[in-house]
Amino acid sequence: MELKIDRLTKQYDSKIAVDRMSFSLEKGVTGLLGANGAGKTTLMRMMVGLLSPTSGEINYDGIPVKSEEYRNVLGYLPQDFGYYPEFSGKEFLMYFCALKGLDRKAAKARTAELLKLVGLEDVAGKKVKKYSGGMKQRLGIAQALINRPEVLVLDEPTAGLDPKERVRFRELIEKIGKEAIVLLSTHIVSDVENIADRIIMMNSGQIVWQGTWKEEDGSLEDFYLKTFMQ
Amino acid sequence: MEKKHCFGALYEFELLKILKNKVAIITFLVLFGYAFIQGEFEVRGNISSQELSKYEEINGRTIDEGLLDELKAVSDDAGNVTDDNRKGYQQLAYWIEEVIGYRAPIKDLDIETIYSKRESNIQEGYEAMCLTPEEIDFWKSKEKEVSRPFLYHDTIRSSGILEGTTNYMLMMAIIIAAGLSSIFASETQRRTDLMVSASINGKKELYLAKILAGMTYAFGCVAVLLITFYAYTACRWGITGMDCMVQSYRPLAQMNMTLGGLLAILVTLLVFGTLLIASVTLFISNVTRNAVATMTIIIGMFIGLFMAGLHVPLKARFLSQLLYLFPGIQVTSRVLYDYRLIKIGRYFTQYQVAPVLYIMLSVVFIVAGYVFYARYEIKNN
Repeated sequence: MELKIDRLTKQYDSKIAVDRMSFSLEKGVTGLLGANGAGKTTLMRMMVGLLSPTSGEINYDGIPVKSEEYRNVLGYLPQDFGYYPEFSGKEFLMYFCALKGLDRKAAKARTAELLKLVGLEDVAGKKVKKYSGGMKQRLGIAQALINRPEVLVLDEPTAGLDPKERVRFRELIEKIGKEAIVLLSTHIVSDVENIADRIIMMNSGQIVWQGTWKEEDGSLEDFYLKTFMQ
Repeated sequence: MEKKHCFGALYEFELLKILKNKVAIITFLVLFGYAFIQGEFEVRGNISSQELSKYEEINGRTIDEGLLDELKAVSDDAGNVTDDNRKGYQQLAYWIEEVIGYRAPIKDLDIETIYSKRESNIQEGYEAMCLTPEEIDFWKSKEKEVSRPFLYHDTIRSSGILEGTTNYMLMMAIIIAAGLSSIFASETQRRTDLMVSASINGKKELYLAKILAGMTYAFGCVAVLLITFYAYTACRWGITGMDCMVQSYRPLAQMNMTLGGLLAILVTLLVFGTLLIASVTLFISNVTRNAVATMTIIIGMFIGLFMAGLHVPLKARFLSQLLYLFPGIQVTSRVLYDYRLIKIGRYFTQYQVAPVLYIMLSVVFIVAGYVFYARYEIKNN
C-alpha cells in the first residue's frame, strides 16, 4: 500500500503552485501543514485525479490516479465543498453511494452506518440546507468514507467543527489510519499533532520539512511557526 | 471494493434533482395552468357551443357554383353576411377571401375564378420560394392527389386545437431552459463537482444518467401539457373537424391530408423538437457551467432564430430554408405551404426531414457533450 508522488509540479502561467514535490505515503495518518496559499489544495487535487499535473507522476501501487481503479479505493473530502440543498442527509449519502458503485441494499446499510458514525442519524431526513456548518462538514466526511477507502484525502476537514466534534473526528481518523493511507491537510497544528504518524510542512509549493513528530520533540506548533517565520 | 453499475439509482437521483428545482416546478405549473387557458379560450375563440351550430350549417357541402350563389344571396358585395343565423356563409366568405384577397368583391366571382386564383397564388409561392422545375413537378403531382372541388368545413374548433399545439414549442423551450439549464451547471456552481468527479461512477454513467433524466423531464412535460390541453378540449368542446381536409384550413395547401394528419405532424415535430432543444440545453449547461447563461442563451437563440427565419428573404433560399427547419418555425401551419423540398435520393418535404435532422443533431450534441464532460477538469479555486 503505497501512494507515490514523483517530481510533481503544477504551474499556472508564471505561478508555480506545486514545485517538484516527491514523497510517498504508506498506511497511517499524514498531516499536511501549511499556510493558506502554500499549495496544499492543488497538491491534493492532483492526488485525487481532479487536476492534471504540469509534470511528474502520482500512482497508487502502480495504478495511475486518473484511473477508475484508483477512484474505486479513494475517499475525498474537498475544502469548501457544495451540497444539494433540497436533498436530505440520507438522500445525499445514498446518491454518493450510487456514485461510488454501491448497490441499493449495500447503500442503505452503509448510509445508516455512516449517519450513526458522524452523529447525524436523528436528522437524516432533514434537508441539507437546514443543517448547520458543522453538520454539513460531518456529512462531507461521511461521504468520503462510503467506499471504505484505502486512500483517504481530507482537505481542511475540521473547518466548521466544534471542539467536541473535532475530538470525535480525530478519534475516527486515527482508527481509519490503521487500515488506510490518510492524508489530512490543515493549517491548524492541533488537528494533526496527536494523531499524525507523519507530518509534511509545505510552503510556496515545496516541502519545507517532513518527518515524525514525537512528544519529546516539544511543541509542534512552535516548530511550525518557527519554520514559517524563517 | 467491487464496483457496481448504479445507473438506475443515479438516474433516479438526477431526476429528483430536477423535480426539486423550484424554478423548474414553478415554470411547469404556470404553463400547466396555461394549457387549461388555451383549452378554454384559444379553442373556443369567441364562439360558444350554443352558437357553434350556426357555423356548421354548410359543413360538408361542395365548394361549387351553387354554394357560391347561396353566399352571394346572403352577403353584400364584399362578402359580409349580415344575418347572424348564417354564420357558416360568413366563414365561407373568409375562406374565399384567403384565396382571392382581402375585401375583393365576390359579386361577379365564379367558382372557376376561385380555383384558378388559388392555382396562381400557389404558382406565385413557387416563384417566391425559388423552386426548381423538379420541385414544381413534385407539387403538381401532389396536387393531383387532392380531390376537387373541395368540401367546405368550418375550422372554428379544429384551428384552435392546431394553433394551440403550435404554441407548445415556445412553451417547451421555456420549460426546458428552466429545468435543464442547471443539470451540469449547478454541479460547478455549488461546488459538488469536486466530490462527484472523484467518485468511480462520476463520468460516463453519471453523464448518461443526467442526459436521460433531462430527457425524461422534457418528454414528461410535453406529454403532460399536450394531454392536458387535448383532454380539456375534448371534454369541454369535443375534438371535431379533424377528419376534414387541410384545404379547409389553409386553401393553398397541396397535400392530400386531413387536419388530424396535420395535427399528428405538428405533434411529431414538437416531440422531436423537444428532443433537440433539450440536447442543446444540456450541451450548453455542460460547456458554460452557468445556469443563468444557459437559460439566456436558449431563450435568446429560440427568439433570434424564429425572428431570423421569418425575416430572411425567401430569395436567400438556402439560408431561409435552413432557418425554416428550426423547430420554432416548423411547429406551425407553415409546414402546409412551405413548398421547398430537400433532395436525399428523392424529394422530401421540410417536415419529413426535420424530425430526422433533430434526432441526428441531438446525437451530435449528446456525444460532443460527453467528450467535453470527460475532458472537463476542475479549475483550481
